Amino acid sequence: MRMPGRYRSSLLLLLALLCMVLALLRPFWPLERKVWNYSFILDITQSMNTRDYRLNGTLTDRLTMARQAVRSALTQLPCGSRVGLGLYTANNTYQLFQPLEVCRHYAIIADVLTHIDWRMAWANDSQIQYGLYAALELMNESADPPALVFLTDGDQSPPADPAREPAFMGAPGQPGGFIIGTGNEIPTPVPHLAPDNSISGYWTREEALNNSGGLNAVQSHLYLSRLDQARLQRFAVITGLSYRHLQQPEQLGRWLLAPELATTRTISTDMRWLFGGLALVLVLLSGWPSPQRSNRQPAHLH
Amino acid sequence: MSDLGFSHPGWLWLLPLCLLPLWRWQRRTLDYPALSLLPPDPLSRLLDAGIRVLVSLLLAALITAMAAPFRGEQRVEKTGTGAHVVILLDRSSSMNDAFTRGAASRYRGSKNEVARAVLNRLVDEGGNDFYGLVSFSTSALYMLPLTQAHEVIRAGINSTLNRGRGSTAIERGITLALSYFDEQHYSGSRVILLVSDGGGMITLQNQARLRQQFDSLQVAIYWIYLKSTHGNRLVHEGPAPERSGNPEYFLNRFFQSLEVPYHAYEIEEPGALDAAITDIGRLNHQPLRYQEIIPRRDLAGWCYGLALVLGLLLLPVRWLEAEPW
Repeated sequence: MRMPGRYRSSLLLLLALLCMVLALLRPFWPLERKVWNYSFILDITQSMNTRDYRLNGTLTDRLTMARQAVRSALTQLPCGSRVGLGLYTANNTYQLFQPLEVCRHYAIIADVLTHIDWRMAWANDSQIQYGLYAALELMNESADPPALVFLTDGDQSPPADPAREPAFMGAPGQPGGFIIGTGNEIPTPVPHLAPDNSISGYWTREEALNNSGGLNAVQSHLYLSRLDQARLQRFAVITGLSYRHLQQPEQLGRWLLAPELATTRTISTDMRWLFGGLALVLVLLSGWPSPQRSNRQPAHLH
Repeated sequence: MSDLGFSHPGWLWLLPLCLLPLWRWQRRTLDYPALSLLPPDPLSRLLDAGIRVLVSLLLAALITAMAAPFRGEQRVEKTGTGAHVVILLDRSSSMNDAFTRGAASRYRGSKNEVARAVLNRLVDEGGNDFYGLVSFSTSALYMLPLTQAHEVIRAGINSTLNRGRGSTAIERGITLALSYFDEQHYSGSRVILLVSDGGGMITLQNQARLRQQFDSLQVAIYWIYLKSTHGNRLVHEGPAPERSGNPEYFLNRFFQSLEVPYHAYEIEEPGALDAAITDIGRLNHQPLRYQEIIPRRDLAGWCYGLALVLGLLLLPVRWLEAEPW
């Protein structure tokens, strides 16, 4: 019944060695993990250059804030998740690449993100509904449709006629995703940017109206842009997306970890720690004094 | 150089456990009828200390292994063969149309779809080549930087699913594609691979600027011309056509006038596509100096190995020991 101490400790150590051997055999087990598949579409129209955010104390434009939020989300999504990028301007959406694994391709995704700016735009007008619907269509065309993250300020130019809104032809909530409102509800002038990104003036009302509609402006004062939450919330209801107002860059990543948009994927997971841990416990036990010794009389001294 | 990290650094909080064998130094009891009969034995004491250190190291190796140490991503200068190819993809609205009658029997689908198929095939056969991706219509889009990860380039090529829009602002596209070569460290052959169904006018002023850039950067041009049903031929017999009516003719002339290698492939010609892919493949044999990214390397295996060796050393000691620490 009582195993001599040296048998016991040798046996435990032997078991520990066995665990180490098992760890060395690279146990990578297929485990179910939650991952996400998103395509980010960034509005790059002129109104996104409006500086109505404060980021670390500096006035920041909406597009920079949107980029910052996406960059932060890249690090918040777990490995195995995939991320695509695209942009919206005028009345259409372009994808830059289909979703790529976010850890392995982080450097490339971040590089492309920094290159997204207003100079990529091919027209100055902005018809969000067309762009949004085009984005959803685009998602559904890919083999594994990603959820959509559409970042926009909701500012349309020239103003849309509600009676002539395009009809949504898709199925609401397919794919799911978010409309992320960027900007502030306080009307703010929109800067004219020179090619080097310096402010060369501000958009006037007349310019904004003449931009593509050719309407006659009554007055020519500054065009003011504000985040139009009501409009974006309405679009979200139509398309079955969720609306969120971005105030801090880190918020986006937290919203994106939405369990209802996650898919479980079997990912080969490193389980060596399990055998390492067992070995650790066994080594400690093998060195521990045998329990039966603890209550014994002290050694007799003659 | 030594850019170490841990995948699961939380386990490192267990490291104080390594002190346990050292701490329990004085606390062992051993039944012996008469301690005074025991001779002083400095060798045993030394051995005892050695064993404790051994156990301590074993525990440290195991805990470090559990934290999964790795050596971070590294860049290594490599010399191989290959090319830097910036794909310049036309996404103007005319790319949505089907092919010319002659070519329609060979290529199904819109010119967009054919372009995607051609580029995918090219990248599949690309070996070490670096590819970048620029698309253009009314403006130019930076889609992907130069990369050797061909799956990335395929993700870019295959993202152009929806209908193209707008006109053909060829000059902006070329300017953006050339900017990929501004960085001096790129070596090997440099190529812009234009895949389009038409040209666009380039002003004389811009022509002069582009000419100078091509000259200083030494970038070759390959043009896969996906001719429209009523599209123009690149070469014209007889007098030069009207300037506005045939931008392709003038674009071809402009490229020919540059002092860099230039090839045009009219896809209508049977075998033109294969010739294009072979020619671009041949560029692979040019020497290329590049930075290869070596992915992070797992070091946990070494730690488990070390733990195993230490454990094997400990095993005979445990067996021979009358009572452990």
